[in-house]
Amino acid sequence: MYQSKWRIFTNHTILILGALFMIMPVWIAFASSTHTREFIFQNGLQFWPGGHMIDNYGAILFDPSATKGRVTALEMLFNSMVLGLGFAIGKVIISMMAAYAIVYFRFKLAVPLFWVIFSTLLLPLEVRIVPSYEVVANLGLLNTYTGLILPLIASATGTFFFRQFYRSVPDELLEAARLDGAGPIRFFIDILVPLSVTMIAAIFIIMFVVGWNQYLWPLLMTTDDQLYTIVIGIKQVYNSLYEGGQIPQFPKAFALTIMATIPPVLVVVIFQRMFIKGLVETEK
Amino acid sequence: MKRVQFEHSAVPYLFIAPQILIISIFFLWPAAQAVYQSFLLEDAFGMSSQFVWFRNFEDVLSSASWSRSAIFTVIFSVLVAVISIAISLFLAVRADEVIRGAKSYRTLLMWGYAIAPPVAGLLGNMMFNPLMGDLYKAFNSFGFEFNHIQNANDAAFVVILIAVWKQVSVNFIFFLSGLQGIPKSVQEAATLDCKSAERRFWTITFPLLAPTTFFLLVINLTYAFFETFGIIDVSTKGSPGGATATLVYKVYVDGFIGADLGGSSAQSVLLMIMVSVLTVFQFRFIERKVHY
Amino acid sequence: MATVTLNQAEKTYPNGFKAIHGIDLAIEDGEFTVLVGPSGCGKSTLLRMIAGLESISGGEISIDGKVVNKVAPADRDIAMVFQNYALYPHMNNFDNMAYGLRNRGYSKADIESKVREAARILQLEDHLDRKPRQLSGGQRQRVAMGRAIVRQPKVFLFDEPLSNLDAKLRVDMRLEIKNLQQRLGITSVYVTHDQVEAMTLADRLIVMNGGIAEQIGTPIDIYEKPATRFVAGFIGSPAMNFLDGVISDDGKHVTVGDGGMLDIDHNIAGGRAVVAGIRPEHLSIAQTGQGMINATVRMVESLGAETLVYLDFGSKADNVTLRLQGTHNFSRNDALGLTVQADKIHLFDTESGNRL
Repeated sequence: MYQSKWRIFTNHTILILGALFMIMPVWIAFASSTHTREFIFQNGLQFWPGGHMIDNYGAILFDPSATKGRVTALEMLFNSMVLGLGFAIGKVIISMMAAYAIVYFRFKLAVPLFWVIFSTLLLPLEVRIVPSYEVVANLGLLNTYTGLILPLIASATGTFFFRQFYRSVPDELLEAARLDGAGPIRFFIDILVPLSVTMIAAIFIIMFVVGWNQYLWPLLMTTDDQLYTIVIGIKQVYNSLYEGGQIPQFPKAFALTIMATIPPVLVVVIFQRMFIKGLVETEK
Repeated sequence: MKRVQFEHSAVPYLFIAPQILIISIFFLWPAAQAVYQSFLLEDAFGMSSQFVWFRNFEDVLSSASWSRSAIFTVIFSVLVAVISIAISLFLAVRADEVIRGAKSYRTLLMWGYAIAPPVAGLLGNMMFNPLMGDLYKAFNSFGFEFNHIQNANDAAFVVILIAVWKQVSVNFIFFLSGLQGIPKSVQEAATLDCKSAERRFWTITFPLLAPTTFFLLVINLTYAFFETFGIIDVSTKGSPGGATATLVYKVYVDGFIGADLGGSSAQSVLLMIMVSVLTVFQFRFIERKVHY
Repeated sequence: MATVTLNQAEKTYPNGFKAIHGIDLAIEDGEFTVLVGPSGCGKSTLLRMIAGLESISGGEISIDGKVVNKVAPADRDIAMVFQNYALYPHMNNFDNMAYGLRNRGYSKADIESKVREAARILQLEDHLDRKPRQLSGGQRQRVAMGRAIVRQPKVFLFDEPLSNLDAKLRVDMRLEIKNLQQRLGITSVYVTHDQVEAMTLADRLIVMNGGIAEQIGTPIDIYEKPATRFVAGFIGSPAMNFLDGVISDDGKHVTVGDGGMLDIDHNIAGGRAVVAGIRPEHLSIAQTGQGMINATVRMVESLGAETLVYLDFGSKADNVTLRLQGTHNFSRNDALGLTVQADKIHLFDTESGNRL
């Protein structure tokens, strides 16, 4: 299509500026994380990387004392992975099943149960945080992976997504399957699930990122630092930055920040197409 | 509703049970607790509680700090929504037009979704750090007396900037997708009818993007209301003096840190009412009616 | 005076693909020119280059004597009708037609009268308040044409405007377009892949293939004297029959297939290998003594007013089509001797495909 040379030029300029706007903070954090703390303390944030990347990153990955706690970044990364994967897997399975029941079955409690699920959209976790904490504490699930993951799954977003998708599946498929003698469970496993694979992948990616990036809930219910996710680890490190009268350990804190960011960003960028497809489908 | 459905007794219950179970334990029960506690007042020692009907609500609604927080939340949310929508729309239009490097630009602009709110808050904190933050230095060197630790407006500026920065990616993705949904031939016809690209945007592109824009408005308002907790907690922590505490943040501060269960539960209930209104609005006017 | 001139116009895409190879074309004022050819031949690309929707890589395009290579589409004083109408979905039909005028600063009264006049011509007066989605395909196409007419441009461009309509509608709209153009007298360039549309609409026809113009001429000229084998096979339905053959030594016959001989009247050296082209309607049943070929009936299609007979000739199957008036009673495997008048045989070079 026709574009004047000026328009093309301004387009590229604007987009480059936009990309820089997004990337600058992260780049500065990364560059600053590769210097010693004395250097940062004296010279402020850096644009250009220094030579201490291996030192800093190695230290926080393997040395618990580097993060002022008893846990290494590696262990925290592991916890984040468990949270991200567990949350995504749990979400996908439960929402798929619930959406299947709602869309494909006529049963007595269908309508009230649908509205119960819908109601979870009205009271996000942040708002019911205190009683949620109490419930989990009473169940003895504080400082457990289960307690970390389960309460987060109790929301309707995934279910609505699959509900929408199932409604778009042609009825003829079900009719043909019935003629072929497939019962409801068979139909689900043999036909619907394979059909949903791209959707499942898309939702999985989104939920993995959501799970990995959880903040408030893990903050509250994990007091045992063996269970810290890397996002929580960052907060703890920053809290203790100015303690002890020593030069603040900025580079290591930045390194932790970068490490908390890389995995979800990589996932989102590598699986871009699927991710965007999943995200945009939720609009319709 | 599907035209064809199974009639079956046990299977649907089986399938829906896990979600219902989890919802009951981890949502319905805490939600009911929150509502119940909003009607209670604990004594000074937390030993007994008294049923006080709507007194907690009265206290909350008449408290200055809640009003201030509510006003801040509204202004904050509207500004974050409008600014990040404007920026991302601006970027998306250009990204839709370029041919060379289209995929690269898209990649460079969409990854912000993967950033955790606390990480965004941290990066903002870093950039505005009085000791070494580049933006802190930059603003002060231009003659503004920038002090977000003590000045409420400067602090608000910081959290708004951070929240906008993080949200641009999501809006960008949706706008780009919306733009790509406009038929190319319609855009070409517009090229023949109208020489100015700017005018074409406002008369043709923007009206056709209206559904996406409304949708994003709701999404962004919701984001600003709730998902910015992480940003605030790691940057300004609501200071100075609660000036940058959104309503959600205040629930946390009062309830968890201040141990005012009754008050924070009442705030939760009020928030729940506000969300319900937003959600109903979203489903009614933007998506087709939610019906079984 | 609105002429359109192409001078060695070329288009190469960034990936290296050359879509248009040096085309020269001179369209007169008020002429209805049709670009026709198979998919991918470059006809739409050429049209879009005239519009300015595609940039030009080499050569010049001039409208009304002025070179427009670097002129923005909106400034070329052209209007275009798209294949899928490209109406603005959020505006009603009146606004759709008025949009271009509003952007050019016409007065409200002016716009009002121009749009209403166009609506009258196109019988759209009752539909002006409606939105495009409330209209049928044919009506939408008329709104698209209305949008072009109100501008009173120097050139009309049509990009396969009838392809999305059903068959009957296509025929009706074809006539409407032709009438409209003759009435308004505006220079028009029309792209289609349908050779019936091409033949009926064109004052002049350009047959394109692979980015080049194989022949430019009036429809009848192209039909009766196709310049290349490609043009001969593309124009005319059912398509021309092609038989490989050799000119006899005395230059008075061409031998085709297994020895069938046909009289020719061309001035070509004996012994040369050629491709002989004969239109189905020019074949007739041979009387004895005439140069003929022997073919076997494979299938017969009786259309009432005419009959199409598909025959096998030589060692090939289904390679000859015969078109006869009225109804005939042939059956499969009947043997027919076919002949053709010497001046109705087209001979082409086997390699270049050019007319001999």
